[in-house]
Parts: sequence; C-alpha cells; structure tokens
Amino acid sequence: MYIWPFVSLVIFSPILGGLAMTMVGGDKSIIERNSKHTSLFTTFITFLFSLLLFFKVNPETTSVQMEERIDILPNFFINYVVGVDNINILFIVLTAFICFVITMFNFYYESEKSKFFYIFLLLLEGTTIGAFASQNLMLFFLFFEATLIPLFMIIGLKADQQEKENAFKYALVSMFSAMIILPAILIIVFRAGTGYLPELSTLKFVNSNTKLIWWLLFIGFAIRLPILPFQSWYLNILKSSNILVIMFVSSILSKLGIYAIFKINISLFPYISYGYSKIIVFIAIISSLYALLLSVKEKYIVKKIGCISMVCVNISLFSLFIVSSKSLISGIFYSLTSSIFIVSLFVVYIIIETKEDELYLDKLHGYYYKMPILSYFHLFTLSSIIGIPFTTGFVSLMLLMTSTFEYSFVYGLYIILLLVVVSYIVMRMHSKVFWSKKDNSDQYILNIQSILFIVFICLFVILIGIIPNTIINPIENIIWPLVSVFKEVGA
Amino acid sequence: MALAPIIIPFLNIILLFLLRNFNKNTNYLMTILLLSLGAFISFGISLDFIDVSNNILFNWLSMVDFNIKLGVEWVPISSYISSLVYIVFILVVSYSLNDFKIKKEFNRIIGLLCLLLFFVQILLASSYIGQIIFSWLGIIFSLLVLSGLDCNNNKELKNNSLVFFTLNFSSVILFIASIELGNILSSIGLEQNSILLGLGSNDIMIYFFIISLFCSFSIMPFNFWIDGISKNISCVNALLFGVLLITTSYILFHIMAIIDISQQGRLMIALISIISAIFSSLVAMNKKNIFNSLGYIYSTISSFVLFGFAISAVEYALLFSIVQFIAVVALFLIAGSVSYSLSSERDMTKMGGLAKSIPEVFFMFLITLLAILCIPPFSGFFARAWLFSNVLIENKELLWWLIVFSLVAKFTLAMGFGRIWGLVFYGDEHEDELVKAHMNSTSRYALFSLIFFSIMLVSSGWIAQKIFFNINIQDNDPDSFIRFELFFSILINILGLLLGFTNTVKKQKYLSLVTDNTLMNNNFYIFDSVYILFVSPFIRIGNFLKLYEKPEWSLFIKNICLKISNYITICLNFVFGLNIILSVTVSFFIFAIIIMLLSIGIN
Repeated sequence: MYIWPFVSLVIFSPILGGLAMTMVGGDKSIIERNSKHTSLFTTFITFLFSLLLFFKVNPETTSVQMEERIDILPNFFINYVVGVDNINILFIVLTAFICFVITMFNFYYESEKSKFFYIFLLLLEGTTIGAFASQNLMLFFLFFEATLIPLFMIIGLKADQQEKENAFKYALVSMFSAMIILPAILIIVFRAGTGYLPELSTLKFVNSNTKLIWWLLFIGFAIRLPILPFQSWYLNILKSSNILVIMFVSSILSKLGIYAIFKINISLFPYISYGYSKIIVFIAIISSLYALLLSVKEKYIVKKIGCISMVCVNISLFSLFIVSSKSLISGIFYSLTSSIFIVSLFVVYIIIETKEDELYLDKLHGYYYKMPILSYFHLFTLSSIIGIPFTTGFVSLMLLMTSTFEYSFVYGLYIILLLVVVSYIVMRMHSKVFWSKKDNSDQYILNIQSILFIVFICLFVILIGIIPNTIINPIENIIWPLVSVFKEVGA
Repeated sequence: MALAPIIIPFLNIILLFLLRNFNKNTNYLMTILLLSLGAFISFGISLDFIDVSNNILFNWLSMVDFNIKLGVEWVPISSYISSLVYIVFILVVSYSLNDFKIKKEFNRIIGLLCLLLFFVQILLASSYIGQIIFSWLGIIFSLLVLSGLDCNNNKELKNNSLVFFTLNFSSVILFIASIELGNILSSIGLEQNSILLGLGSNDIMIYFFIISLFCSFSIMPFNFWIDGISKNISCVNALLFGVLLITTSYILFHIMAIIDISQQGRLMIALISIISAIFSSLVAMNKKNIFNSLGYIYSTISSFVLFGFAISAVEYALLFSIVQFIAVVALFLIAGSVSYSLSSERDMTKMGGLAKSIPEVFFMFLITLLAILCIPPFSGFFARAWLFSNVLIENKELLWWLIVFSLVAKFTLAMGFGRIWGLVFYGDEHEDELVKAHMNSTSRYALFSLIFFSIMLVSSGWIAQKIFFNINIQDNDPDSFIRFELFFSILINILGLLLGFTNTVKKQKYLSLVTDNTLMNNNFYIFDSVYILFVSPFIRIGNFLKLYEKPEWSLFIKNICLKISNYITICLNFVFGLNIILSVTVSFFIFAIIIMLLSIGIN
C-alpha cells in the first residue's frame, strides 16, 4: 500500500485550490494578484504530483496501480475507485501540464473576471483528471459530466451575448450526451453487478441490447470529440471564445472523448467494436475531410487551428478502429502528440495576439524579423506530426502509416493526403505570418514563460523522439490482451 | 570510431552555436578542421585503415511485430561516398566564404549545412529500410529550411521551397506505401528480403513506387519547382542539387537489391526518364537565368541516372552519379562565381566576355562540362560507357530506340552547354565601371577549391571503379557495335557542344522564335519544349517558303500555333497529374495530331 494517496492528491489539489480561491477578497488588484498566484501555485503543484505519479508507475505491470478505494454507495455500485495504468497516466500528466501552461499564459489577458476564470479552470482540471483516473464506471460518468459545469461557466464568462448563446448551446448538446450515456452505463453496471472497470472488461456482454448500448455510448462520446454530425457546438465555440478555453477544449477534452471510447467502447465491447470498425472508420474519414476543408478555407487563425485539431482527433479515432496492435498504439500515441502540436500552435499565436490584437491571416506579416525564435519554434511544432527524424513525429508517422496500409491501401492513401495537406496548411500559415513583407518595427523580446514553454516542448518532443520505447512499450503491455481478443474475433 | 563521421557535423553545429560570438575566420577554420577530420576518417574506413567490423545497432522503436533499428554499418562504397561528400562540403564552404558578409549569417548557413551533412551521413551508414526513410525525411527537412532561408521577400522562392518540400515529402510517404513497410521493417537487413514488384502482380504498388522515384529524381512533370528554388544563393543551390542527386541514387542503389521490377516496368521507367532528359535539356536551353538553366541540366543528369538504374546497371549508375554529383556542385559554384563577378547578374543574355576576365573560372567550366558530357579523359566516361553497353549486353531485347533517344538527349544537353559557353564566356569584355570593380575578385579560397574540384572530377571515378567496384577495362571488352556507339556518342557530344556554341555566337538566334514574346503567353516549360520540337520547325519552313510575306497567312499560322501549343500544354498538365504512364502515350498521340494539323495548315 502507498502511504500517500497520490492519485487523489492529483485529482483534488486543483479542486481544493479552486474552492480556496473563492475566499480571496479585497481590492480588485489584490484579488487579481492573489488569484493569479494561487492558481499558478496550484497548477504547478498538480503538475509536480502528476510527474511524481508518472515516475512511480511501473511500466512492466499491466494492471491498475496505486489504486485507492472508498465505498460510497455499494448497492448502486458507486464507489470511489481511482488508480493509474500505463495509458491514463500519460493523459493525466498532459492535462496537468496544459493547465499549468494556460494559467501562465492567462497573465496576458487580465480582466475583472480573471478570478472566476482561474476557479473554473482549476475545477475543470480536477474533474478532467478525475475522469482519466477513475476505475469505476459510475465514477467515471460523474467526473466526465462534471467537467461540463466549469466549462459552461468558463465559456460564458465573457459578457458577449454571442458567447452566452454558444455556452447554452454547448450545455444543451452536452446534456443530450449525458442523457444518452447514463442509461447505457446503468444497464451495463446493473447487469454485470459491478462498476469496477478491470472486472467489467473480463466479462463478455452478449445480448441483443448490447449493440444499442454500444451505439448510445459511442454517440455520447462522439459529441465530445467532435465528429461530423455532432460538431456544431465546437465550431461555435471556436468562433468567439477565449483562445485559452479553445486550447483546452481542443487539446484535452477531445482527447478525453478518445480515451473514453478506448476505455469503454473498445475495451468493454471488443467484439462489437470489431464488427462496427468499418462504419466508424468511414465516419472518421468523412469527418476529417470536412474539418480539413473547413481549415483550408478559414482565415481566422484560431478557428483554423481548431479545425486542424478536429482533423487530428479524427485521425486518432480512425486509427483506434483499425483494431490491430500497431493501430491501437498509434491512436493513443497520435492523440498525445497531436495535443502537443495543437497546444504549441495555439501558444505561438497567443504570443502574437498579445502584440497585435489581431489573429486574421491577412493582417499578420513579417514576424520573423520581430521574433525569430518564435518563428523557428513554429516550424518545429510541425515536427510533432510530420516525420522529422529524432522527434515524436517520426514515431507517430511510422505507426500510423504502417497500421493503415496493412488495413487498406486506399485508406492509407487518404491518410497520406490528410498529412500532406495539414503540413502544407501549417507551413503556408508559417510563411504568411512569419516570412511575408518586412516592416521596420522593433524586435519583440519573448518573456520568461514563453521561453520556458518553448524549451520544455522542444525537450519533450526530442526526448520522446530519441527514446520512443519508454512510452510505446508500456502502452503495448496494456493493449496486448485486447489485441489477442481482436485476433480471436478476426479468426 | 565508426560513429565519428556521423557525430562530427553535429559536434560542429554545437561548437558553432557556442562560438557564435567569435571571429568568422575562427569559425571557418574550426569547421574546415572538423570536416577534414571527418573526411579523413571516412576515407580510412573505406580503405580498411580504420577497423569498424563491430557494427553498432540498437532497437529504436521496437514492438512485437514492428521494429525500426538504427545503426552504423559502413560498407566500402558508402564510406567512400561519405568522404567525397565531406570533401565537397569543405570545398563549398571555402568557396562561398566571400558570400557571407555577416558573421551571424555565416554561422546560420554553415550550421544548417552541417545538419544536412549529419542526415546524409546517417543515410550512408545505414543498411536498414527504417533508417533510410528516417534519414531521407531528415534530409528533405533540412533542404526545406536551407532553401527557404534566403526568401525574405521573395514570394515565389518561398512558395517553391514549400512545393519542393511537399512533393518530396509525398514521395517519401509514397515510397513507404509502395514497399509495404509493415512487412519489411521487422526484418533484419536489406539483403535478407526480396519483394516482388511486377506490373502483373501488384499494379498499384509499382505505380506508386515509380511515381515516388520520379518525384525524388525530379523527372519531368515533377521538376517544376526548379525555377523557383534556383533563385537561392549559389552554395545552397549547389548542395541542394548535389545532395539530392547523390542521396536519391544511393537510396535506389540499396533498394534495387530487394525490389524486383518486371522487364516491362523497367522499360517504362527507362523510356520516361530518357524522354524527361530530352525535355529537361530543351528547357535548359531555353532559360535566360543561368541558375534555372543549370537546374534543368541537373534534371537531365538525374534522369540519366534513373535511366541507368532502370536498365539494371545499378553499380554503373551509382558510379556515374558519384562523378555527376561533384560536377553538379562545381557547376553551380561556377555559376555563382560568374554571377558574383557581374554584381549578381543572373541573366545570361547580359553576360559575355568572361573568359578573359575570369579565366580560371572559364577553365573550370570547361573541365566540368567535359566531365558531365563524359568525354574520355574524365572518369565519367567509362561509367557512362558501361552503363550504355550494359543496355545491349544484358538486355538484348531492349529496343534500339532507347539508345537513339539517349543520343538525342546527349546532343541537346551538349547544345545547352554550348549555349552557356557562348553566352557567358565568349565575346568582348565588359566595359562597365561597376562590373570591372567586381571582376578579378575570385579569392584564394575559391581558387583553391576550384582546383581541387577539377582534381576530384578526374580522380574520384577512377578510384571508385578501381578499388570499390573492381571493374577492369579488359573484362568488359565491348563488341564492335558498342564501340561504334561509344565513338558516335562522343562525336555527337562534341558536335552538339560546337553547334550550340556557334549558334549562340553567330547570333543566329537558334531559339529566337521561341522567345518571341508575342507567342509566349504561357510560361510553363512544357509549352517551350512543345514549341521547340513541333511548332518552330514549321514556322521556319514557313519562313523559308516566304509564306509570311503575305500577312494574312502569317497571322493565321501564328494563331494556330499559339492555340494548339496552349492546348497541348494544358492537356499535358492535366494528364501528367493523373497518370504518368498514360500521359506519355497520350502526348505522343497529341504530337502526331499536331504534326498532321500543322502540315495541313502549311500546305
């Protein structure tokens, strides 16, 4: 047993920090300062805890580690069971890191309501990490839906009427998703007589209703991704929200959807997932094509990056449903690396927005002469998705290409097209913003948090690129039982 | 010690970064010392002075049914090429020392060149497909950064470097797709596997493999980026084209060992590459900008190399490309020198008389062009000779028209060189004050590297063929027909050179009709080639028959020519984008119709 409940610490330290922040009072400037520092401290501590957790996880073990269990309502199978395994720990560290980054970069956008922004951000972080860490299906649902409340508030924080409408639309759609996930989860839990996820995955659900349950779950999670028929809330948010919120939604919450589909749809129902894999792959293809076309056309940079993130999410979904050992690893690895890619892109344009207050592609030019380091970093972000040696991109490219070409040649060509077009879009953006006409304004100096972020991301991308086995092999250990099931079904 | 050739460029990048505030000369000296050390070690490895029998290998990305190994495994020929690449990099750095006026820029460009060198060395040290793809992507990325470096306000260059990158990136991915990477990566080495790619068995795969080859060898429809890219500074251009040539041919040298393409497929690749060689040399003849012209000459050379690979003369093709690699780099440096001495003038029609003002560059140009045209004393001659004799010895069923096409290509290439000679070096000296100030400014470093280049042009091929390929002239005693062919090809080269030269010098304006601005609405080069081949002869005939004295006739014929050439250009654009194999037949068909139509029009 572990003396310290590390997993619960990672989940509850941001929530407690957020609650503590409600007590901050005094002058406006004092509120501003105190909430800023509290939030920075809390996210930093959470990030440190998550890193500690990462190094405590034994990569050889396939079962859930550092499990903490408190029975709350055993009759309704609602128990507080949290733990980490080789996959969810990666997402937990990513979430903690991105929340730390968001807090750092929110210093640029100081406003009257920044206290509430920080509170809701911390609550969001806690619930998201909780959803990643929970090992009980009911608890997972609770955390999964609990992310909605702070997100709804954080979107609606701006006093703009349009923002509020978007927030309402988001809340409505999400409620719909909750309404269809809940009955499915209840049926699973009550029929199996347990909510413990590792135990559930050993059971075989064979029933006429199971397909319906699978679809309910899939649609519920697909709304969070977003994929094609359910994407309108996402595009609305992209139009007018705070850029940091969009960054969080497109890099973390969509990955939560991917994680949920992997953890529940694929792990609990491997037979049905195998049967429906062709349909889902087709949906992912159509959806990514739609997002790609949107991003080609778009002139507003935030929306453009949002659409690229939608493409990446759909590629991950596509890869998960090819159902082979390589493709499952590729799906998870790609969702991680694309998160890094999207966050880096967003941060570059956040830094530019603070200087220019404009994020339209036509109006930005000549930034190489103002911020050369940022320009190199922008080019470097590309390496997270296209295969430049000694970076994460090469690993994800290899895994994606090999698994897709084994599955189908035509789909492989399609993925080539997607990758080439995405890299072309980003490079066009780069050349337009950084290399077009020069004006004689002074050089901007990057502040300390930008430089820290750039150094950290570069180190991460290169480190994982040089020793990819540290991440790939633990993931492989976990998915190996699933793969053997798929091979059985295929035979 | 085996790792040293790979580590040295990387070490140099780090040192350049640390010493960025030092004097430019210090950095230069350090770079030269380190790179010379690398060249020395590589050469030692190739001659077995340095023992690297213990290979270094590690599993870089390993899973249950998937494994990419990275490692260092030198074979004699690869370490020899590695030492040549080192020497060429040293010479380019020495040569272009004058180009970098600012210290900061010097560090940046040399750093990027070392990054490129680093990936080239990884490629040369590899015997695993995973590593080849790995380093290939790295090379393309560093070329992108290098070529986009100087594009401050140059929109065309910027877009072209993007297009260049996208095209080559797609070519690598198509390559991955075509060799069914999943099955191969788990295997140990290149020698132990064999994939059958035949037109009958695996159609789509071979199409993609071929298109990937065409992209990476800059075969005709895929070399439209040359116009834009060649606006770069001369040292970047030289290394970009040189490295592209040597790396793609080295990759193919490796891959050809495991890929078994059917006879029909080989024939098709050979045919398309030789047609591409003709077209590219025609386009090169048609460019005013000296760098563009040389870019298309590079395209012709790489088409020849691909031709060699396609007719399964793998070793000869590699030998050929080793010599041509040095020659291409030298050519671009010469062009840089010419342009520098005329205060950055790149338009050849405004040059002239440089043989008197910069004689050493002119002498170097002569040597290089003789090496490229494979005239006997230069080592390229035997590579090329065996390459073509191989066509007849080993593939008797290959048709004679491949030989004829190659002769035509050689003739046009030689004419292109003759034209450059006539335009740039022949004539009277410039009398402009500004130009005179720039002249005679070739530095000692540049002179040293030019001399070294000429030594390498003569010797590199000989060393390679004696030591690494074990080819003796007596073993390959060609029969009488091949001897005739060899003799005839030398004759044709010299004839083409002289014809190109005299045509330009006498200002007969061999291509005057083509550069007629009223007819040249479309800049796309296919238009030019179509025009030269099929339209201008008829206009000349019309001239001869004095048809143009009647104005209505003249107008009528000009309009028809214009419309039809435009139409062919559009068709070719469209068709080449869809399917390259089909396009050749279609274009021949269209050409036939055009000839018929025009002959009717004139009659």
